[in-house]
This record gives sequence, C-alpha cells and structure tokens, in this order.
Amino acid sequence: MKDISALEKAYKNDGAALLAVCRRYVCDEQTAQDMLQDGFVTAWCNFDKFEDRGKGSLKAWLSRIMANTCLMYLRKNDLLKESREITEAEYRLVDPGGLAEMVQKMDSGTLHSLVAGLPPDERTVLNLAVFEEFTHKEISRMLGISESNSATRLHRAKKHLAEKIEQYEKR
Amino acid sequence: MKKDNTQWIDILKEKVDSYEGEKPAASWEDMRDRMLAADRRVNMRKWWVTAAAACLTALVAGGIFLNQKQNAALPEESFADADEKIEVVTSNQTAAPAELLAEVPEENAQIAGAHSGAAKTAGSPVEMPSDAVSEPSAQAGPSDAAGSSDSAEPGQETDSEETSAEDNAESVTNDAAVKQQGKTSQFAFAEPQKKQRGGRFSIGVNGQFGNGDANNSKLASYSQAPHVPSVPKDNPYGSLTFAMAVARTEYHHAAPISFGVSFRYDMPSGIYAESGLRFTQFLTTVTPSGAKQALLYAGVPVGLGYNLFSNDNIGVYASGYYMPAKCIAGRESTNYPTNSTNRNDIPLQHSAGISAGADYTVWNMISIYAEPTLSYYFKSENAPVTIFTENPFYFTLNVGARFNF
Repeated sequence: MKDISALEKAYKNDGAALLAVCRRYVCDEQTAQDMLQDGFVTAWCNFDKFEDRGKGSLKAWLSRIMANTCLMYLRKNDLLKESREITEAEYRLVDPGGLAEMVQKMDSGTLHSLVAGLPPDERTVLNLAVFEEFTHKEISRMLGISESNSATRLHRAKKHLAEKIEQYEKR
Repeated sequence: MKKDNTQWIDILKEKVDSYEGEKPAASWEDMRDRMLAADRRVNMRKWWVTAAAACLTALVAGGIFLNQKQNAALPEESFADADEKIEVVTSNQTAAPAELLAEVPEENAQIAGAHSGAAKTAGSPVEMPSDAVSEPSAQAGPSDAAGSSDSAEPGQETDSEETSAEDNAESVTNDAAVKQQGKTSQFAFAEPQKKQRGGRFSIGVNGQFGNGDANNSKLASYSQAPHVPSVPKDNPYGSLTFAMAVARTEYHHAAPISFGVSFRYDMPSGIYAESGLRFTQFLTTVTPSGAKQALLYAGVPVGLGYNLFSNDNIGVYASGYYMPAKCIAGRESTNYPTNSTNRNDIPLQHSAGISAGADYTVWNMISIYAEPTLSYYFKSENAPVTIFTENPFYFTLNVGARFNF
C-alpha cells in the first residue's frame, strides 16, 4: 500500500538535502528543481518497491532515485561525453599538501558549488565515485565507458576541483 | 575506490554530504498533485496496454478458434445436412447421375446434364425450392438410386405426372452437386461465389486513432537542455549563484492524427503482404508560454500477416509491421523551448508493431476493417519531442476501407 504521508514527511524534512544531490549532478538550478520533482514522481510510482530498513533508509532510497534521475537526464541530453582528452602533463598526481586544510576551512555550500561547477562528465564520475561510492567497474557499466576512462575522468575531476579550491583560497 | 581518496577528498565528501541548500521551490501540495497525476497517467497507460493486449489476444485466439472449428466441422456438417435434408444418398455419388441419366429420355438427360454441369462450375444463381428437391428423394428411399429412376421411367403413367423424369433427374443431379459442394439443398446455388482471399489484391484507405497526453510534465527538464548555462572556467564559484526557480515548463501532446493508403496482397497460403503510405501529424503545446510545435511525418509501413479465419463476409487476421517515417513538414513558435532544427536533419522515426484485425465485406468488392495495433517507436538521437518520444509504446485503433480486386 502506497503511503503518501511518508513521502510528504521526506519532502518536507529532506527536500533540501535531496535537492542538493540533484544540484551536484546538474549545475542549473531550474533543472535541479525539475530533477527533484521528477525524482519524487518516480519514487511515488515505484513506492511499492521500497523496503523500509529503518531510519534513514527512505532518504537513502530517494537519494539514489535522484541520482538516477539526473543520470538519465545527462545521458538523454548527451552531457556525459568526454569534454576533452587528458594530456600526459595533466596526468600527474594532485599535490594534496595544504588542500585538506583549505577544504576544512571552506563552508560546505561553497564546496558544493565548486563540485557542481565541474564539467558534466567529470562531475558525474566524481559524484558516483566519491559521494555514491561506486566502483569504477560499476561506473563504467552505468555510463557506458571503460573502467580506465572512468578512472581518468575521476583523476581529472579531482585535479580540476583542487585547482578551483586553490584559486578560491587565493582570492 | 576508498583507498584512492586523499584526505582532502574525505573531508570534502563529509562536508558536501552534510550540505543542505535552499528548500525546494515547489510546495508539497504542488508536488502531491504532480505525483497523483503521474500515478493516474501510469494507471491509464497500464489500462491501455492491458486493453490492447486483450484485444489482440481475443482477436488472434478467436480467429484461430473459428478457423479450427470451420476446418473440423465443414465435412461432417455437410454430410449430416445432406443426410437429414436430402434423403437420396447414393452409394456412389459420381456414378449416380450417370446411371440415372442412362434411364431418362435423351432430351431430359441433356437438360439434367446441363444443370449438373452448371452447378459444378460456376454455381449459377438458381434457387431450388426445398420441396422440389426433397420430396421425390424421400419417396425414392435413402439407398436406392434406381428407385428414383423408376419414377422417372418414360411412359409410366402415374397420378403425379408433374414429378416427371425431368424433374427427378434434375433434382438428383442437383442433389449430387449439393453434396459435392457441402451445402444444404435449399440455397445450394443461391449465392454467387465471392473472390477468394488467396491471390487477392486490395487497396485501402485508413485512419488511426490513439490517445493524447494532456499534461506531460515529465518532459519539462528536456526543455532546459539547450539553456543550461555554461559556467566560465575561471569562475572559482562555479555555479554558486543559482537562479531562483521559475514556473515549471510542461508539454501537452495532442493525440496524433494519422491517415494513409495501403496496398495488400493475399497469397493462397493465407499469408499476406502489406505496404502503403501513412502520414502522421503531431501537435505539441508548451505551457505556460503557449509555444507550439507541429510536425508532419510520412512513413512507409511494410508488413506481413496471416489470415486466421475467413468466410464469405468476415475475415480475422494478425500481422506485424515495420515503418520508417520521415519528417516532411514542420513549424514551431519562435519561443518553442528547443532549438530549431533543419527538417532535413531530423532523423528517421523507426517503429514496429503488431496488430490483429477483422474485416467485413459490406458490398461486393468493398470491405471495412478495424485493427487494434500496439506499436513501439524507437528512440533516435536529436529527434524532436513528440508524444512517441515520451510514450514509445503506443496503442492505436486503425480503421479503414479496402477495395478488393
């Protein structure tokens, strides 16, 4: 039996966090709002498949639905294509020295915006690998790319993000 | 994956995970209405698909059942009817007319032979009164062919002069022809033979009816695709400054209008091939801007089918088809939320489907038909948004008329 009150509670309590998940995948605010609404519609249509495993399980389930909805959007609009090939010079390890402290000092809203500002292909892999904790094998299946390509994109996303953080701190 | 993360990534993850930005723009009441509307739409689609599947199954199953029944029952039925209504049953059907003819006067035999020949060939539209056929037969007895010839012997004066040898010979030869055709005696030659389906060529005109999608909000996000703002690479804030939410864009698809002509050739094996030309018009309206898009596609369906059942007036059949369609005309408002695309760049729309149909011959060469059809429209890159891009499975009722040659 579908219980719309459970989704109402989730929308009111966790709506902002779920919207933040959408913003991480799509940088446009209007599109993120659309993704949230589409995600809730999908959740409602498939609510009978949800298994309540205690506190937080509904939020986790909804987060996954939001991520999937955004992935479908990115795939349909062909936004997952690799923006450019990585050069040998770029393929060196990001120097983490001092970055941890910088990140520690920054507020979460700014960090969130910096992640959302990455190119779509890099942002998507970073989201899936870091925040959703998927393996490269799983990501390669989800995005239709090779595992090595997934690893390359992740590396490049980290590098770009580190540059953005350093740039932000210098200003 | 975890071991690859550096310390700063762990801190980043923790902070970003805990981030909660602005609240959603839409109120819960709006959200609930949207969810319930989507639920109704899904349920409606399930009903449509269920109804389509039921129609197709019923037509196919009915056709197979009628076909089997017809095949199994025809010989028994014809002989049973002949036994009941025609008492004259000769042990050798082909020999009986010859024996009889040998005993009737030459002139009468010629007449009888003429009738018999006519009956065996085209089935001339001569309606035989039932008593004229059955009464002399009853007098003769069921297994005595000679008995009937006795009554037709020339020179024998009986009180039933009207049941002459000519009548008897005619009735017996006609009865034999009746039995050969497996029909009852009353209307053995009443109807002209209709054109059989095998080897028949048909031209049809048709129209399709389906359901539109009155309020399709799921597509709203697509409209934003060309307008995703690109963040300058040197902007350290990325897309920090989100725009305030604006009214949600919704697409409304009218039921597509489809019409065309078809050409069909029925082979003697029961299989038929069908092709034709079909035009389909799509109309999409976007709210709240009121922008409109109209597209006209021309397609060439190619299909194969099988006649499951047929008699003189009714036929039941099932078929499958494939149709590539090309956009041949289109226009959209200047404020339509997708970039205008050159018509030549719009990819072909491929579809395939299955249908079951029934036709009814209303007059001689003309038949009308109805075909519930379940189609699947394949997705294409860069295809404009239509009802088929949102609902790839689509149920239609195809109705039309055929001219059979």
